[in-house]
Amino acid sequence: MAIRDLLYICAECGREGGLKPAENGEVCDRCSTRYTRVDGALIRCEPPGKPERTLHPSEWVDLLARSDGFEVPDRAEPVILRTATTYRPLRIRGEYLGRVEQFGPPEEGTVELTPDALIIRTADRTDHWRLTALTAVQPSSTALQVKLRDGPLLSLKFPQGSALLWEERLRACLQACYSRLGRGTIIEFQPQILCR
Amino acid sequence: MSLIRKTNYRFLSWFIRNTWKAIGGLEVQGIENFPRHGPCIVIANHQSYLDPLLINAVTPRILHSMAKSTQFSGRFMGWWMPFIYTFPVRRYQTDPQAVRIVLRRLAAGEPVMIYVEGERTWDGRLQPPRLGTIRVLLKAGVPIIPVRIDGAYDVWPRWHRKIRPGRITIRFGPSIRFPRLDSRADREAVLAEARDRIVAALSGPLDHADSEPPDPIG
Repeated sequence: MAIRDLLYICAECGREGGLKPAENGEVCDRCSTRYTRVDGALIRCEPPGKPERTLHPSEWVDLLARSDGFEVPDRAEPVILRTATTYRPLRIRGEYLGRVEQFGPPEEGTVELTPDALIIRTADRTDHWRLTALTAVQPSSTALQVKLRDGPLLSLKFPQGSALLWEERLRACLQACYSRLGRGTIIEFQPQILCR
Repeated sequence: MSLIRKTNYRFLSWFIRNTWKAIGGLEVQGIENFPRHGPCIVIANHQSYLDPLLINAVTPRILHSMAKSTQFSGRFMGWWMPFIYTFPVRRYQTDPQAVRIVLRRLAAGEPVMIYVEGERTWDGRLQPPRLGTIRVLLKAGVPIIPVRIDGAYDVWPRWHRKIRPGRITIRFGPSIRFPRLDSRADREAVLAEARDRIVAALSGPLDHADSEPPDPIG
C-alpha cells in the first residue's frame, strides 16, 4: 500500500493514477509534485515552486472529492488476478465455523471497465463479465474483490494503481448501469448489491 | 486444549498490552462499562490492523471476534485464527453461518466482537455501519458495548506499510440496549434509528469536524 492508494488524483494537477514511488515518498509523473507521509498519518504535498501543504487524509479526501466524478477509464490497467473457485470447511474442536475460500495462483493480466462490462485478460483467456452479473464489490486490504453470480470470487490487485480508485470506478459504473436498466439506486455493494 | 487456548490468549493479551504500552503508549478508558458476566456484543470503529490486537488485549474477557474469511485462507491462519477465538464471515455474500456462530457464542454467555464498518477506514473517519451487522445486533438483543479506538490510524493507516509507534486510546462506552426483535419487519422498522445510535456512540473528533474544508491547491 502507498499514498497513491488513497490519493489517486494529484491534488496539484488533477492527474489520475499518476503518483509513482520515489525516494522518500511518491511523485506525480506529470507535475512532479511530491507526496510524503509526515507526522502520524499527515500527508505533505510539495509542488515544485509553490508552497508546501500538509493535511490530514480526511482533508485530502474532501479536497479531491470536489473534483469531477469518475469516468470510465480509457485504458486497461495491469492487474494481478486470483480466483477462488473452491471452498474449505473450517472447524475448531469439531465445531463447524464456516467455509473459507481457496484462491488459485496469481495470474498477471489487465482489467478494463466499460459502461456494461468488466473485462479481464490474462495470458491464456479473456473473461467478459457483464456488470449485471456482479453480485458484490468489496475492498479487501490491498485488493478489490468482485463476486459473480453463480461464479467465482475474483481478487484484483493493482500493482501500479489504486484499489480504492477501482472500487469507486466500479461502483460508479454499476450505479450508472443499474440506473439505465431502471433497477433503482444501489444502497449497498456488499454483502450483496442491494437496490432501493 | 481449552486450557491451552485460554492460556495462550491470556499470554498474548498480556504481551501485546505491555509491548504497546512500552513502545507507543496505551490508554484505556471506561473499562468499568464492560460487563463482567453474560453475553454482549462489542462493536468498534476500525482504524488499523492494530485494533483487534489491542482491543482484545485490554478487554478483561476473551472476545470471540468476527473476521473476514480470506484471512483464514492460508493453512497456518486457518488453524491459528480459530485458535484465538476468531471466526470467519464471508463479506461478499450473506453468510448465515457467521450469524449462527454469533448467536451460538452469545447463547453460551460469551462476548462477541464485530467491526461494524466491515473494513478499515481509508481516511480516519468512521464509515457507515453495515446494515447486515445492525440487523444482527437487533436480532441478538444483548447489551452492546461501543468501543472507540483513536490513534491507531496515525500509527498505521491503511494506505501505508509502515508502523510509526504512537499513543493509542481505547474508550469503552456505556452499553446500548436494543430490544430483541425476532421478526424481520420489526428489525427493518428500527434499522435507521439503531444505525444513528451506533454512529453516535462510535464517532470521534474527525467525524464531528465542522470546520471549513481546506482551500483547493493551485
